[in-house]
Amino acid sequence: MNNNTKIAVRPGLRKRRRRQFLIALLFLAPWAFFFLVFKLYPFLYGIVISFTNYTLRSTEFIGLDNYRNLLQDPRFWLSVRSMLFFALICIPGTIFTALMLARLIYPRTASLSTFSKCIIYLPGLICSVVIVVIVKYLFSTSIGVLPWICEKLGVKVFSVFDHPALSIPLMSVLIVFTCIGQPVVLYTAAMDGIPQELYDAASIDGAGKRQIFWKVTFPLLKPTTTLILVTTTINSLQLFVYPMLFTGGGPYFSTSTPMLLLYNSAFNSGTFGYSAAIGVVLFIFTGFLAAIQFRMTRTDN
Amino acid sequence: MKKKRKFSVSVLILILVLILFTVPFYIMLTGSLKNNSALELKPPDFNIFKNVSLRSYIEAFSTRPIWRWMSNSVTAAVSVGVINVFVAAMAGYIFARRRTPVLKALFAVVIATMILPQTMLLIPNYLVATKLNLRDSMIGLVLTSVNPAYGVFLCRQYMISLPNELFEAAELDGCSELAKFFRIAVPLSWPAFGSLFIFTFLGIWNDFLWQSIMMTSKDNMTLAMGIQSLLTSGSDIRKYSLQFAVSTFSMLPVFLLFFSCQKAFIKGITAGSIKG
Repeated sequence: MNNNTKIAVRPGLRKRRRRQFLIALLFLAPWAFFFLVFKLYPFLYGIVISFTNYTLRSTEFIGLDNYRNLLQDPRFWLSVRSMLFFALICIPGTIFTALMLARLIYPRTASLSTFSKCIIYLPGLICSVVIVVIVKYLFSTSIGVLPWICEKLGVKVFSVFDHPALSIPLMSVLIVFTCIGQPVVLYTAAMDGIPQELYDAASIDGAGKRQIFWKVTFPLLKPTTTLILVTTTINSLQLFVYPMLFTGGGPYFSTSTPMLLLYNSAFNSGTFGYSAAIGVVLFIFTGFLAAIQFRMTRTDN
Repeated sequence: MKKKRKFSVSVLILILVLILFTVPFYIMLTGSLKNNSALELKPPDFNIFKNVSLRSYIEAFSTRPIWRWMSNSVTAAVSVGVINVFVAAMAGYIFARRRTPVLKALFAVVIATMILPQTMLLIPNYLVATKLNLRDSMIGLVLTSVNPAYGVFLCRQYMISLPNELFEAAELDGCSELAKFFRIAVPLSWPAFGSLFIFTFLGIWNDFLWQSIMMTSKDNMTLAMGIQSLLTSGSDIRKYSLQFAVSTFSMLPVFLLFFSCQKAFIKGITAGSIKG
């Protein structure tokens, strides 16, 4: 370990210190390279071009125009609204489902427990495009499952993806389904750490199973819950793949998300400046939310 | 409640849940082994024991550049994995072994990078990649996909847990820092490296967004992009069985990796939950 106190200067101490400094630089150099070139520089660059109307042909400094337009853009507010709907289903859905699953799993034998965690983790390994393939097939309007069910119910066949009231919950369920693996592992690990005495004491006091769970177990899981809350929130803010592949954000931006808007304004409209502005706004908002949620952990600890 | 009853209702519910979680795989596998017409029936024929046909696989391998897609995906995923481990190991080592204020601040930066969403960096990275002529090349994809932040965090946590005495003994023997790294830290950190490699591999394997932004020519398409092309190109939209076949094929390396390295996997997942 580096000794920073000044003892009697031995010959060569300075040289040794400098050598240690150089070695530290050497070890950090690869990380620093990737950080500077692909994280810090693009970060600053993004901020800069958000103040311009950068297209692939021209650039012009236009100050806060992008931001002004953004705040007045109905598409933006529609996508924020959709994002909130997604978040409202995904975040509590993930936490609650993970809790319940962990509750089912952790009392089991070690091998069943590990096996269950692996199975639950499996959907998260599927590429999102493949999930889209499966779901698009299942909900296809011309063949297969959906028309069959509709025939049985005597209902006219309709496309789930034309109705945001249906497509948003569906996509949210898919998201929870594929992302539930990690939270379940975290919760079971945390539950394993709760000492048996607490449960015994509660039982002696006459608490029922359900009471024990919500009044004893759940509060003790707060750090884990907060962690899952933060990560799920951050992921909700970046939601993009399912809206893009299933509905394209439609109909009429009712299922769009800010990230999808960012993508489209860059790659479909070519207005990179506007797109960068969306990115900055999303970043500020995400950072703000993450900071709040981290504060919540600190005070509880 | 640590009650270990064997056949209670909750075990039954658990088993039902586990079955539910394997449904997508069943659909993929069965769907790929049927004729397209079987899938178009109402109700569709998902009985895996009847009418099995390899036609979709034959069609996939003969009419689509599947091997090309697969090799692109493998190259990208393995390269990024290796680079990530390399970068993370070195940086993690220094963060674990030394605690100067400067390093503490830098580590906070690493954590910030982990939290920073990809959102804001998507477009600027695209523009930077274009300027550096990195688009539409494997090297470009690999370089831009390297994301060592989580790895640095993981390696640091792991290396901190290595006993100090080993390093002190080595120093007394006159070991240089590099030697300490390569002879002590690295050999002992294989579990962390393994988990990190697996995570990175999976991340790149399944990442279709950045790949579709970076790669534009047909030869450079990865598996994820290939599957997406089957969803969007007019003639392929209805070829469900073909889509399932390619999807199942794309899952094979993932399954291999997962089932052969379970321990390293789970260790990596739970390691992320330990607060440093």
